[in-house]
Amino acid sequence: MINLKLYHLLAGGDYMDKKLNLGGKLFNSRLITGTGKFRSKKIIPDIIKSSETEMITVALRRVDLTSKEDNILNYIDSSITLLPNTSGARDHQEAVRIAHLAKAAGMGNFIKIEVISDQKYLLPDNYETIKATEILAKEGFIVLPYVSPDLMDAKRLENAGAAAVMPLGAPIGTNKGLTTKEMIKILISESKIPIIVDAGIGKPSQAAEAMELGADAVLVNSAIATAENPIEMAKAFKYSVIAGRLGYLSGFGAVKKYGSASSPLTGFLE
Amino acid sequence: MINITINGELKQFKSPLNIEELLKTFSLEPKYVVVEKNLTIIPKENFQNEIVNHNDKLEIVSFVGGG
Repeated sequence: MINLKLYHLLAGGDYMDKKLNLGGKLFNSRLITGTGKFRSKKIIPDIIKSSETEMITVALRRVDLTSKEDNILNYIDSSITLLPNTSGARDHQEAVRIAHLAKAAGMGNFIKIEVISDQKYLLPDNYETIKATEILAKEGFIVLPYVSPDLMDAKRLENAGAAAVMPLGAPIGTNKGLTTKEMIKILISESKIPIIVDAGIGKPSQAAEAMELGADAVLVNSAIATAENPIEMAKAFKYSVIAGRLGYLSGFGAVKKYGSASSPLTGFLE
Repeated sequence: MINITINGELKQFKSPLNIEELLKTFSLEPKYVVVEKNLTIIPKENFQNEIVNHNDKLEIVSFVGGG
């Protein structure tokens, strides 16, 4: 049971909560958003506004020398924390190389480690991710590793200096929700560092479910980017994350086998 | 003419040039790119001093949308 009085720092909403602490940096919003798959970069400022996100992911790619397109950073306000990912990395060396390039961009030292060698389900390679975390955390990066939810690997990441563990709810882009729910519950119960559910969350109710379980934050990209109305969907996710978090903090009533009347069982009319 | 490989493509230039000049030929803003020369990252503050020569290999990368 969580005692609400413990949470005396006012967060972004109109309720009491402690701020999310990632590597010493504090966040009011517990919704991290991605910038992939949007029909146009021009929508990103509106997504940031309606989601009230404070951290946003980006990828690093070769510049197209023939393209005259402007850079995505033109659409991300400097108050937003950038979380570059290492997508495209197939082993820890490639992840470390991408992390170094991302840091050289001069936009902070957060890094989401994403090492994928399985092209069918895009499942993360926990072993290579742990190795990359060990190297990058020592170098001073704030490391957020994206992994399959395995308790022992989560402990290894914690020992390696990760700032959080980001287990997948379902494979990237599937919108299937918390298919790994039982494993995520175990990570939440045993982890000393924040648990951020990343990948697979397809609906606001699923983001709320993750927060009700006690996840510290969620990362949502495809569900917002591929919605018919991404701006309104971003708003829906904002509310669902707040609702789920507030529900978790408030302590759920017991689940009972039989009916239990909500109205008094005395004083009936004759 | 000198040959420089940029992002895997062979490009030709009249003579050696610094990174700032090279970026200008592709209309790239220095503040949005990261440059790796022969696998070594070149800090932005060295873009004017760092000369690109014949047979150098460059990677020029920048942030794009991603999850």
